[in-house]
Amino acid sequence: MIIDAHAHCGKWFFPIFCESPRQVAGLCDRYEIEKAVFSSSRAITYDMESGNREVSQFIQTDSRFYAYVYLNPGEYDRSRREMQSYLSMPRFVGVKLHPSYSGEPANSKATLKLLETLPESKVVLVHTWGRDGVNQVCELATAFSAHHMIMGHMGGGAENEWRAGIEGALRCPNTYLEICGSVLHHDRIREAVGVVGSERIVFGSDMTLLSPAFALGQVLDSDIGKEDKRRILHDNAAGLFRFEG
Amino acid sequence: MSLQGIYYDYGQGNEETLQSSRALPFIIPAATIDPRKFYARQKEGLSLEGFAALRVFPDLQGWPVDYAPFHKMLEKAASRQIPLIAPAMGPGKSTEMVRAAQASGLVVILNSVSYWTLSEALVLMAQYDGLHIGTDMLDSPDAIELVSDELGPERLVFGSNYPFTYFSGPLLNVQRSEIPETHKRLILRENALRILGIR
Repeated sequence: MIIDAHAHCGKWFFPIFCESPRQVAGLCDRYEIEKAVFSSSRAITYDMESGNREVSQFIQTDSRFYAYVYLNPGEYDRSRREMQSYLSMPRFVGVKLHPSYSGEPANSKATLKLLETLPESKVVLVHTWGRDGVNQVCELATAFSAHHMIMGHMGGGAENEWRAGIEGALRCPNTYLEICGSVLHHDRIREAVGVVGSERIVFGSDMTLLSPAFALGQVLDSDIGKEDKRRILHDNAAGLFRFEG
Repeated sequence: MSLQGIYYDYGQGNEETLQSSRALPFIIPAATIDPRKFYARQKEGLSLEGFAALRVFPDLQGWPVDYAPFHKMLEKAASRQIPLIAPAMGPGKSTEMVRAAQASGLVVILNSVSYWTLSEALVLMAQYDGLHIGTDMLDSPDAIELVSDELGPERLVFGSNYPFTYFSGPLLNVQRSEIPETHKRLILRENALRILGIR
């Protein structure tokens, strides 16, 4: 079984029609996803409050569904209210930051200030793209050394980007690499396991933007041990999100 | 096909591909040409003899689709009646590529179509029956079902882009799609054999 640390609910501005909770549940069945943590595409791309409200309703439809509350640190007061509204709910397991959409770097003063009150039990998933993006997350991770940070897309799709992600994770022991993307270069998982260790890599699919098939295929094809694959697909996320059973 | 043909010399690369296919019959040879070196005269020495397809890499080699040497290459492929395999690249590029191939009457497999370029590919497929799309990066969760339902499973051709990227992702994407098994067989095998003219 699989735990998906990077999923989305909502609509996309692409020809993708897997939107309803029933359709998403079907996708989880198809890929044997035991639990998945969602953020709202509406919150990220259009409106934070209505998107977060949407994901809070969405996760009530299936016991496998959990959520990140999306925050835009550039909108400090509004983001603070969103944290207060949702993070006390048990199935909100963390926060999602998307510096590319919000325009607010993961190491900005506003981001650091916003996360000051984040409980240590809550995970931070950051869309992490390029060497600069990795360095920003490393700075954030250093400032919040008791928290766990996930580098979404493990730094990006180009070879120099995901290698920067691996180097960043090596520098910052409270970071995890999450593996989804459109371009998944052969051997990148083996390299990440070799450098960082399989204990700090988590499976993410980017559904419903992407099919879980691609992220799953790269783990199954990787020349790493069975135990490594089990950690990446399930155990690491189970520990990180404190899932029981 | 040979990586040497993409990155170094297409003549030597194509020869390497042919040798490999003679030694290993499961290898179906595709030729490649780098239009930066192509000038359509005797010295250029291009032969498509023995190849089942022509595959091009403007994305890796950095040349534009609206490029006179490329148009000459398309004429040559059309005279041999072999399909063109080309990448989708960014928005707008597929339109240029397919219109250029259509003008030469070439059957096309457009690969590396992703969620980002699927809309463009769907419109082009509706406009040109000779266009098929590869599944190597067809990565949105319902793309296989969408293309199959809207345009027919015979318009999809399995591709992996291996060894650049992992093999099993694209394979799982077809195998676990919600379409009939007969349609999966078309996508994974029969369509490619038909388009490449292999019995």
